[in-house]
Amino acid sequence: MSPFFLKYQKIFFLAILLLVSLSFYAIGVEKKKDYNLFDRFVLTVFRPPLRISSLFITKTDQLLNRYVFLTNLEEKNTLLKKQLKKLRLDSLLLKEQATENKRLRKLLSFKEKYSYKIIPAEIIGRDPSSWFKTIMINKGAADGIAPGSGVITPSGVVGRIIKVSGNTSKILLIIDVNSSFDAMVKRTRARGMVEGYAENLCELNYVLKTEDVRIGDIIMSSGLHKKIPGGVVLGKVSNIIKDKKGFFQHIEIKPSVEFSKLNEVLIVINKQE
Amino acid sequence: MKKKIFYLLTAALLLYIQTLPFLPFGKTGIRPDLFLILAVYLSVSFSTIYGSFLCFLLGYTIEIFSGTNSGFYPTIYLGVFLTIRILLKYFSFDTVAKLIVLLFVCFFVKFFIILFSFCFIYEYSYSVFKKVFFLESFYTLVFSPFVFLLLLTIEKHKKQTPYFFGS
Repeated sequence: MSPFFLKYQKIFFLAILLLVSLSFYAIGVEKKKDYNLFDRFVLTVFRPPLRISSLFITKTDQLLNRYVFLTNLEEKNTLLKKQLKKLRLDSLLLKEQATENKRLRKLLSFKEKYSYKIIPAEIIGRDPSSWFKTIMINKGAADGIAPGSGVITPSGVVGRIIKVSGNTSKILLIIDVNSSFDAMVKRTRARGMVEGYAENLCELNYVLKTEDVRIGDIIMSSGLHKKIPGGVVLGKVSNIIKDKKGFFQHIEIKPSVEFSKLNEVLIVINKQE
Repeated sequence: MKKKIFYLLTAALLLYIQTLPFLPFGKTGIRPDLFLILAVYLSVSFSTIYGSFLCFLLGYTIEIFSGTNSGFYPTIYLGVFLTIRILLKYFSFDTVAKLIVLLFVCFFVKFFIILFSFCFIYEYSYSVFKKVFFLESFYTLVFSPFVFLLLLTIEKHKKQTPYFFGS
């Protein structure tokens, strides 16, 4: 080895590491969808303790809710029974409408809509960084999950899968700055893109100023994204600014999902793929 | 060898704490950067080659769990490492208080690297950026004495003369 290199080997080493980091950063803009061997090893090591702590917290929470916080139980029970009766009736009507819809689609030779399989999963970890919004779940490729799959809860859209290993997956939440979803306003069917904006907010972009959007309007998935069914709620319009330059209005959305209280999610898998 | 295993376990513990889904910090999504504290400590206690490699590894590991692009955290921690090595030529950092001051300096390095990245890659609004940065730094500062004390206490127990502190 040359004396020059030996003299400055520390500087060379540091420069190489910096160069590697910056190259990763430059190339990494196009995100990798698979974990490499080292990543998988780290995930395998961390999965059990994360899963145990997650289970412990969930069970403690359930225990407290089941046996300690039992105030107004009778009133809640009566209210829920009433809601159940109403929902049963709604379900009957919807089934009837679905049958009719199916028959009419067939009559008009419309293409069959997507059919989905739902996989429940538990959250075992959150993004260690404050700058990005992702969560880890305890299901992965072994359960049939693939990058791009949509993630929902009964309250609404959570995000989509971005990386998958054998038994874990990473979900990009809709509030992350890198996230974007095709969406529409339920009342007017105006289309736009829901993108992560700030802390716990999203914004609906590319909606023309001429479109009628009001505060409180419900924003839902458009159904164009093959891996997420149409009509799933994304959130409610919380603020609109029209006096900005350009063709579009600035619409702020408060997501329907409370991300801080999320314990379980549902992964949507399109059966036709 | 024991020293290396100890640092590895500390890093694992800090990452575990930072990734836990149900920490009180989870509500806002803003949490302390515990790895930055470790990166500062490693930068003053290890040689250039070993220290820089560990800082790179810390950054790489955090990215396995994070939604960031590869290279974001290694660049930050290597930037921090480089700054500390320059400062070590002029100052020594042999107490917890001095290490906290050093951590404070490192916040500025991190601030400029992130600001530069976000201007070119992410569409982060500046007001949100500022809020996230200051809250994250505040939480990190609150946690730092405990982590530094833990690291220094175990270092003393081993009765080894450490490489670090500008010696």
